[in-house]
Amino acid sequence: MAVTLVYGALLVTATLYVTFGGADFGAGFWNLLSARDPASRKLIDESVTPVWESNHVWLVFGLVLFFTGFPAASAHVWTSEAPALWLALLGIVARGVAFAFQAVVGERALLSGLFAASSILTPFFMGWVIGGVVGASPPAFGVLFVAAGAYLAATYLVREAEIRDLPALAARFARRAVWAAAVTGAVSVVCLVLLSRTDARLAGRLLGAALPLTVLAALCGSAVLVRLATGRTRLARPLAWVGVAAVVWAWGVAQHPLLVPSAAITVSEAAAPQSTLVGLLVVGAVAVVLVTPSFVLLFSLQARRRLVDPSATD
Amino acid sequence: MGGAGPARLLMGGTLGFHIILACLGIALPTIVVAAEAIGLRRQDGTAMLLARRWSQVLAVLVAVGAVTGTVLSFEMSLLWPGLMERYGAVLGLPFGLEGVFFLLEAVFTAIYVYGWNRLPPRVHIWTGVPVIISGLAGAASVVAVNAWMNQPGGFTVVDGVVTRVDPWRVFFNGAFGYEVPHMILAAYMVSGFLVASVYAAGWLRGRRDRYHRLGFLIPFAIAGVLAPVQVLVGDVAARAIAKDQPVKFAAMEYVTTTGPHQPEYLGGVYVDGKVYGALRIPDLDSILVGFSPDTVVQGLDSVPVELRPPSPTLLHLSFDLMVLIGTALVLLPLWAVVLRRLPRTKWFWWAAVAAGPAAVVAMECGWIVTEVGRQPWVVYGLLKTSDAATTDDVTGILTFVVIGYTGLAAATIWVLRRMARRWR
Repeated sequence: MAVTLVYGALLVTATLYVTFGGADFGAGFWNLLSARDPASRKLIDESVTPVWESNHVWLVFGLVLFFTGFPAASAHVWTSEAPALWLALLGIVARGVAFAFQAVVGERALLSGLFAASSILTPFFMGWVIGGVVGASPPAFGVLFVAAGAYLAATYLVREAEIRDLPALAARFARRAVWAAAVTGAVSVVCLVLLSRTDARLAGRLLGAALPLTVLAALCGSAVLVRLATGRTRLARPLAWVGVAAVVWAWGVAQHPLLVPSAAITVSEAAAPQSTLVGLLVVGAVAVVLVTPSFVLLFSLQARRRLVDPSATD
Repeated sequence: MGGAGPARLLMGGTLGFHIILACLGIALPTIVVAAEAIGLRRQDGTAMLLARRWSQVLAVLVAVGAVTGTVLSFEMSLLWPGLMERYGAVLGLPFGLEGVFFLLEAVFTAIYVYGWNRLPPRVHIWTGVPVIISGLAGAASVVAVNAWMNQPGGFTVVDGVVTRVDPWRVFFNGAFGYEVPHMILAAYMVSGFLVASVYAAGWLRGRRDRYHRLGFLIPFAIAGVLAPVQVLVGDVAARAIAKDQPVKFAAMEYVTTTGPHQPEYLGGVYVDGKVYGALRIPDLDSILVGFSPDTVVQGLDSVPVELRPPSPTLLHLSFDLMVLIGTALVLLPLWAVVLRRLPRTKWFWWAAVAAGPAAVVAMECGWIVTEVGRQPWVVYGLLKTSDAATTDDVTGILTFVVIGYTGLAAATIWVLRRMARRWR
């Protein structure tokens, strides 16, 4: 029981990191494609600056849950995927530093380049690691992660542009989101096909035990695609969020009871002692009680445009 | 150092870098909120301006600290798979709590820093309070892990596998009581003296306005009040080390053979069991440990060579330097207290400029004593560092990180200086 809950907590954390942290990396991707488009870059900057650090922390929290709740599995993944993890770490550092410095000293070629390159590098290598964990093509999963982040970011930025009363930008990001949605959908299918070749059981369970979630993901993705393509932006953001979250959960349900399918490590084999799992659940409960309202506050202040660069008035 | 050499240098170097930013992340919010409180209470525009600008500095430092902290959380697993596989289930619980506080700190730092313009002032200052609390609680949680590595406990091992964990005893382990306050006070001293340094330098350059005076006084007063407390906590910590980790203590204090009437050495180097070039005070070490010259102090000879820390000279000189700087940092503010005003002599202001970097040096020395002194163990008495380290060769990564972090340090200072110039 406790072990399943901790596994669930791990999936919740992964969902939050993928859907919020992933979108911040996706925003960096669009920054790269907006080299001659200062309005887009300004929107990206304003939307990401106050929140990226908070979104990033879900990664650290997830890592702690993983190595504490499942020490043996964690040690296996960190050892076998070490090169990709070092590269992802490099990307995390470069992205964070470039973005933080850019906020102070303005845009500079070196910082912008670093920010954009690392915004692609990091999700690519994180996808690579997940590809390694499930035992399927790491590069394909890397591309999937980059595409999914770009898709989420574009969808979120439509809303950010609308809040700021910038209809032209909203339309631009809606077009971008449509493209990104189509690419993400196509890459997902490719990943599923590649997975079915290396691990037929896991692929089968994505269309078996996890079928409702897989269907939900496909429906949400298609709905976002259709709505944005026909110029209706309402609900696009929550639908995109639910769609990507459903993919994370479909993966989590499909691979259960395995935790690291490529090494045939199960959730229960890798689990820490019962007392640690209970301790983690208490920590998780504290997190839910304290962190949820904090994030709600942060995001609602951000949505009401109460968080702006303070140096503007100095 | 054996095979773990590059991994240890990598961990030590990245930790030594991050800890400076961590100090500022822990203590700077208090200094900023104090300035804002003064500004609000006295309708003082200068204090408000300082608070606002400091919070922008805080934003940059916290961002850099967030990523250099992530480097450490990756390195725990990348460099020390043996530690994490064996004890992840134990030391992960304080790390988990730290994660919660880190989330809160990040969220409220964002609200505090970016909320200046559009939140009502009375509301805005209160958003700084969770930043302070979560910073302190997060620091306590992380240092609890290090304290646990020095005084492990709170778990049961059967056939080499951890089977039961008592989270309470893991968190509040034997070293928690002295390591945590020692580090938090160090964070306040580093942050306070560092910020004050900046305005002392301005003062020496003739910028003797109210802005610089206040910018100096607020952080200097906070650090100055806590400095004497730190000396007391440090004294308790040293005595606790003598009891809890006698071999570390023996290396720190050049105690070669177990026995009473141990002298205290100030300075000096240690070669093959002999001390050269030190000022030797008879019996003082025994007195400091047990308040009597007859106190028996355990020496390095109590354990075989392979269980002794690698370099007594490094440990001893680091310890001495830390104590020397710590004492000087008590005396410097005392100077102003005795005069009941800020001294006018340039000597005071030059010393105040030096105080910030000196506090950083003292803090780094303290970490060298804690970490190098724990060797050859990663978990004291239970797991050797060499058994926990990765089998990968990380020499290339080490080279890359040294270059990268040098660049990062230079870029951070460049960015901070640009901010300062813009404000002038």
